[in-house]
Amino acid sequence: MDQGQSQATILQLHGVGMRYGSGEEVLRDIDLSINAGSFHYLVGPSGAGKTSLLRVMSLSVPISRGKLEIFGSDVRNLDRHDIVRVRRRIGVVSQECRLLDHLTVFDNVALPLRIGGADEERIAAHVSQMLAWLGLADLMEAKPNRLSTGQRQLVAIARAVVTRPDLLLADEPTSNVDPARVERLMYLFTELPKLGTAVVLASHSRELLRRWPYPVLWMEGGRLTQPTVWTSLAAE
Amino acid sequence: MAAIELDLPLDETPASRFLVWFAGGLTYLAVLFAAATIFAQGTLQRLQERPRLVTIALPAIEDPAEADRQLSALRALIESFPGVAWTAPVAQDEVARLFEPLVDRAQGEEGRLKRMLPHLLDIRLLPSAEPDLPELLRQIRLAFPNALADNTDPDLTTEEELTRRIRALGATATVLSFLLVIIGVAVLTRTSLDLHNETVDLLRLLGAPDRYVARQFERYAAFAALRGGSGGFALALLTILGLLYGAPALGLSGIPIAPRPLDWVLLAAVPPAIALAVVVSARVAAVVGLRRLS
Repeated sequence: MDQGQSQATILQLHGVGMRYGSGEEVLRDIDLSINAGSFHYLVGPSGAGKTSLLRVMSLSVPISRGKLEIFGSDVRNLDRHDIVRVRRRIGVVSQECRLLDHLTVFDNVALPLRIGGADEERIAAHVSQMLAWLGLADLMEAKPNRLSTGQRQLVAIARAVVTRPDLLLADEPTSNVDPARVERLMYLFTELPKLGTAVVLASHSRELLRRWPYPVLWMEGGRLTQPTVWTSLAAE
Repeated sequence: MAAIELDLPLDETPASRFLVWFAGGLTYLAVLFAAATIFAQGTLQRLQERPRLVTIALPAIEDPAEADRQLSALRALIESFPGVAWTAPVAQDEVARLFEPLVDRAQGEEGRLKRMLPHLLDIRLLPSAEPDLPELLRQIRLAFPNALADNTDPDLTTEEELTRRIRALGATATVLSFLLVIIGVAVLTRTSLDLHNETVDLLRLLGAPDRYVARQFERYAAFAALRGGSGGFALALLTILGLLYGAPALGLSGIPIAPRPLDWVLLAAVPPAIALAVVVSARVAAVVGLRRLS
């Protein structure tokens, strides 16, 4: 796959460190560039800082040092309105799915579109299409607490990609999904870059990396040990 | 009434659910207090519009010229007082008729009897000017120490005073109800915000600006005010009607109350005013709380 070296850099981290509260740094000296239309795996042992790095990238937590540029802007210069605009360009799939159990599957997926002010006709079309494609058409009116873990994960993914974001950050999105649907999801994740979306996918699965070989960002002890590795684990 | 559908599950938390009861209770109290204020105001107006006549008696003055001079001076003093419509001396023949049962006409001459009679002066007060009757009487006694005053409606001042107190208490309690609504809703909104911190965080992650999140609390507050407020208002109306029509039947009537159509219109405006206070308070509390969270 063309890694889009010629394409615009949408995310850059220079010497970024991050700590929760007054604790020790969980991310240290992170240097990283993500281009539009690129795909990266984020790999590392448990506690390496993968989730924290994704949270930094989604502007969910502030950095404690270094510089973070997203869509051409230094985050330090972003006001509240800018942050809202930036967040609307990012799709996030967290490990916990974070679905709203009092809303239906349809409404959960529609949420970012409604927040963005899309009209109901467009919402109905996009959401129905997305859910049908993921095989969840029959569960549109179901409440998430009645779904299996894998189904919940699919809903969370649908919600993250329904707005066709410029940057998709996914934390273990396939961990509880059945193999047939993993195929489908990986097809989706690898097709999105062709539409300009940059994808960063955190995963533990060597199988995934072997079957869909893409560049790997290797994390250990809060550091990116191979910041721009262009070989897949399959080549190891 | 169906539950409201929001991104934040506000009707699933006790703090938010309590908001419905809180709005209902405060609407009930505010309507009752407002009714006391509004009805007291109407009653006060009616009491003040009643014709009020006070009669001043000057002791008998034998010299007719001196009597005329003193009466003129008394009239001048009274008519200079604010709130006095007019004064009119009661004709001595009329006074004589009033005193007839008390004197033995056979023992006295007609002319001498008239000279022994007091001189009476009727005073008509202007109700709309709210005259200070006690002050007027004080000034009369100061200038004419022997003068006697006869208020033909002696309980009026007491009734007025009582009604004024009810009006003041009602107004104070209504204002306090509104303040309690504002403070209570703010506290409940902040509590809900803390309870739904994670969902708020998710909405922000999905690109929701603070005004979007604040609107969720605002909409729920409007729903709570509508649901609780309509119940509170209905209950308050039943209470008022019960007091208005039930108390006289039980022989408990004190000051007569006769609500005017405008009074009911004003009362009907209380629940929307409470609802507005609830909504504004929820929005402001949510916006301030969200700034604190970010």
